[in-house]
Amino acid sequence: MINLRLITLKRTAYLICILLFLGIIEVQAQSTIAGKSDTTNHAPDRVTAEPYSSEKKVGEHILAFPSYLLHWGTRPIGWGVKWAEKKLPELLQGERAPYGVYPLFELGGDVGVAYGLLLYHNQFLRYDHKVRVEALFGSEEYNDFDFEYTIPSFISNTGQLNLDASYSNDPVKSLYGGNSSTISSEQLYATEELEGAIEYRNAISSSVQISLASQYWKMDINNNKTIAEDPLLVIPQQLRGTTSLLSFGSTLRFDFVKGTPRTFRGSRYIAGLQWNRSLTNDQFHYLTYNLEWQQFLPLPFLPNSRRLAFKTSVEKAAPLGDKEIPFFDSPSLGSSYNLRGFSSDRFRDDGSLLLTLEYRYPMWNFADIVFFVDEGQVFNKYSDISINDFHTSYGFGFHLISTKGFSFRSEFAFSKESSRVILNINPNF
Amino acid sequence: MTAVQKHIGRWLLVSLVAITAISGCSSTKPYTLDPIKTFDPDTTDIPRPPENESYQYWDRIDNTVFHQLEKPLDLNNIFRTAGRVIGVADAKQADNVNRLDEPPESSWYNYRHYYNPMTPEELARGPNTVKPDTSGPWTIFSAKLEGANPGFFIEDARGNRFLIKFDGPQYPELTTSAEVIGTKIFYGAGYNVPESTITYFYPDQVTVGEDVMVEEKGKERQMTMADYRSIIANKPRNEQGKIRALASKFVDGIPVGQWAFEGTRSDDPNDRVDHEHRREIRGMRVISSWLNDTDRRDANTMAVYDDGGYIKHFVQDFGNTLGANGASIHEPIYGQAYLIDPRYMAINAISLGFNVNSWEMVDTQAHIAHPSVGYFRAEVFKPGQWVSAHPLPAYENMTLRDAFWGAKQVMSFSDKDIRAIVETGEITNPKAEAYLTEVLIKRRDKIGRYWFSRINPIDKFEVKKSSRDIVLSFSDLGIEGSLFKPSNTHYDYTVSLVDRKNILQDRRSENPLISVDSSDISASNINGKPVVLKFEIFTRRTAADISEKFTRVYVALESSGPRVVGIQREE
Repeated sequence: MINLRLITLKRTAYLICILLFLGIIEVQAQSTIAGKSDTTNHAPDRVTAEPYSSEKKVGEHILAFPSYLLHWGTRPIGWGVKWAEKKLPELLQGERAPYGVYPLFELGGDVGVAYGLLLYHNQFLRYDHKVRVEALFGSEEYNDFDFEYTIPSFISNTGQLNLDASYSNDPVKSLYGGNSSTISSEQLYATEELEGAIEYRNAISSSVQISLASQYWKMDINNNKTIAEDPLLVIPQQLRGTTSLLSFGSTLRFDFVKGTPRTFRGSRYIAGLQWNRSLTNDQFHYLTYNLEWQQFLPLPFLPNSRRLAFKTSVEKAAPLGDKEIPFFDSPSLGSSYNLRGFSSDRFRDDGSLLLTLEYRYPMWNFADIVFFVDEGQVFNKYSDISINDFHTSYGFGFHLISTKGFSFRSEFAFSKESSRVILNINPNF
Repeated sequence: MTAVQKHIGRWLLVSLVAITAISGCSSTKPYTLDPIKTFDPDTTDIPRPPENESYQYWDRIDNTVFHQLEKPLDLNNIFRTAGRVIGVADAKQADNVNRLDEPPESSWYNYRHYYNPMTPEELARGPNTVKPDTSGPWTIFSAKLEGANPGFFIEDARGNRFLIKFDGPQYPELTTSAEVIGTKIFYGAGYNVPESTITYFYPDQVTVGEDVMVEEKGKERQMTMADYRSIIANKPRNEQGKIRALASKFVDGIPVGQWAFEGTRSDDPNDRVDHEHRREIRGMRVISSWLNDTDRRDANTMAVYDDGGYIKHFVQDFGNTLGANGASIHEPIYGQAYLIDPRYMAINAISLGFNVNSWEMVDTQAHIAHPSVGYFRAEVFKPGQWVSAHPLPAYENMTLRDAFWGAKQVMSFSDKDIRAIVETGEITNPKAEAYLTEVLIKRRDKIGRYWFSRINPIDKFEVKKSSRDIVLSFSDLGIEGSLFKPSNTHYDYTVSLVDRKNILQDRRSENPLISVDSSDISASNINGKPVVLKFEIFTRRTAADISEKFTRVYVALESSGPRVVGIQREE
């Protein structure tokens, strides 16, 4: 062992000496102020002779070798960029082509890797209709298909009609319970979802927008091969089964914010109400509503790109009559949008309350750094809300900003229980 | 002593011996008794190389990311930096400078205004030989519909071909005037540039040639008159209904792509000097800083296979100079930081937002006095910190000597010269024209004051022999440019015979003139070689914060008369 270490030390010493030797030679050789020797050609005007040239000595090449490795190792990237510039110029110009196909990859989760394709066409059928199809294949038990069709200027110039349809299945989801549930109370289930929705949005004024939506939702809660092996972890039989839901709702949005691409000042208020009932039986019939207030405030004495962003939201589901609320549609906390440091749907009950504070400041004109704190709790009745029952999550992240606004976020969130890495193209708020 | 220590000791000993041997063998003299090389023969006949494809993005990504990562991995840089810290190494100097510290003429560069002063009229004419003929029809033979600047190429009635570019609708006259002014200044500074001129044409005099193909939404199709009309739709017109445009004439020869700011072109045997080590490209950074030429990069250069059978190197696309940024205006950050600048990004990140970069607080619109000038200012300009939008290896390698060379090119343009060149931009508002001239003059002086304070700014040495004296005269570029007062300046000097005793020691001259009594020079030719005098000169200025550095001038006393045979500048 000692001998081995000695040999390693010797080799390192040799290497250092060789590099030092070459380096000092290099320094000496080039420390002369004047250039190369001139010639013996005595032409009277525009004296020409041996051409000038750059010459590198062997020692210089050796010393530069690590940089050569990186240089040649990165050339294939250059070939790719050049190829893309010729073949897919819109990719690099920031001007997405009117139609195209992009590959999709998803890493992590229980499946590991999922592959897919995104197809879009922004001038569908020679109009400005937009169509978007997304397909992601993970395994027999993990797939996601989405279809979106958007018709702008519908009914009025400020109106827009959106048609959505999706199918997905997920082999492992978790149900923990209410605000005081522990991490060990986790119960697993698998889902298969089919969804269809139609939404009409209209801007009543520059700061007020209303939307009306209807949705059909078929949800199958089951246990699959993966989780069935451990029956203790699977949700009880009474929560399993297939449910079809129909809902109608409306959302009002008041925007009094300023700043593009960074929102730095003002308020935003969102209020939504949705009526839901099951189609397959009489079991579920309920209302859900949510209220949200967002406030943006620049720091004093600094450019307004340094700003605080605050959000508070309340969401509540209320059964109608003696009917119930399906557990999978009751408000929950724990996602890449709320209580970010906790597992997905970590807390679930009939109501949820969330407070979020973010400090956002620019690292560069296209990138922000964000520090955030999320505080939240779920509750059954409003009277259950207590200052002592908040769960805390905190973290930091990087937001990429395009000329149109937010374009991508990478966040690292922590809590006393767990942590989460977020890569998302949708803003938190 | 351990075995390892013995090995290290042995190697260090070998290293020292080798270094001593190499140092002893060094025979490079700072002067030459041969003629001074003023031309680099890189214009020999070569077979025409294929056109290398031009790319808009890769050079930016490569220079911004990978080149920056490569630099610390090149141990030559590490040792050189260490050597400079302990005072045994010099910065890596340009590879193509002669003994007078000048770049030679070549396929890249020509001695113009600084070396052979041009009249304001000559500077205003620049490279131009012909204008587009607006009396006859123009025929479009190629066009670009998409992208930031749609435009087209025309052939006039005389058969001359031009690229036609336009101003942005919000900033009439801005881009076209910047193109013309930038072209003329680069021409005067010695670079090869295409002919550029402002032209006005009637929309109806243009027709689309047969089989002109255009690309739209990824598909190629034949160009129509409707396409032409859509290009000129929002272009400003004058009272006569004419559209203003920039006409850039096709250069003679065959374009063979662009040239790079690093390396050499492998299929050009004449291209022997790494571009990042060419004096005229390193020093170009100072000229670029003067004009806020932020978009200088590989894609805005052109290599042309000349009729003489060699590749000639052009600098082109000046639409991002002065206050223009293409069809729009420069943002305050331009010239102050790279578009992706890890230096500032790191500081911003660590400071938690409390570091405010100077360009962040600027209200751009408040500083646009004239739309035809755009955002172009002198008061915020810092010559030593100026950078192009993307890192360029040649600019990064600029040494103080390169910068001095660039600064003297800039300072060679007098107020009158600048005025004459700005007039060729044909800015119709006299106040805007006057403002632009004033900013250029102020920025020029800032450059002179900055760089001439960091190196001894004496140049243009001439030596004569009178009946009794050898007289060395020179120009103090700081005084010539009215940056420093003669009354506050004097020159301390020592004259010696090379490698021998001092003849005049610690002398002082109030004027840029040094006389040596030839009778003091006892020795004559030695071994048939002429005697060489060494003048070591310091420029001293009172009431000015300058770095006092020497310039050594070597004068050979030849039978035909004395001759300057070498110049050394301390950095």
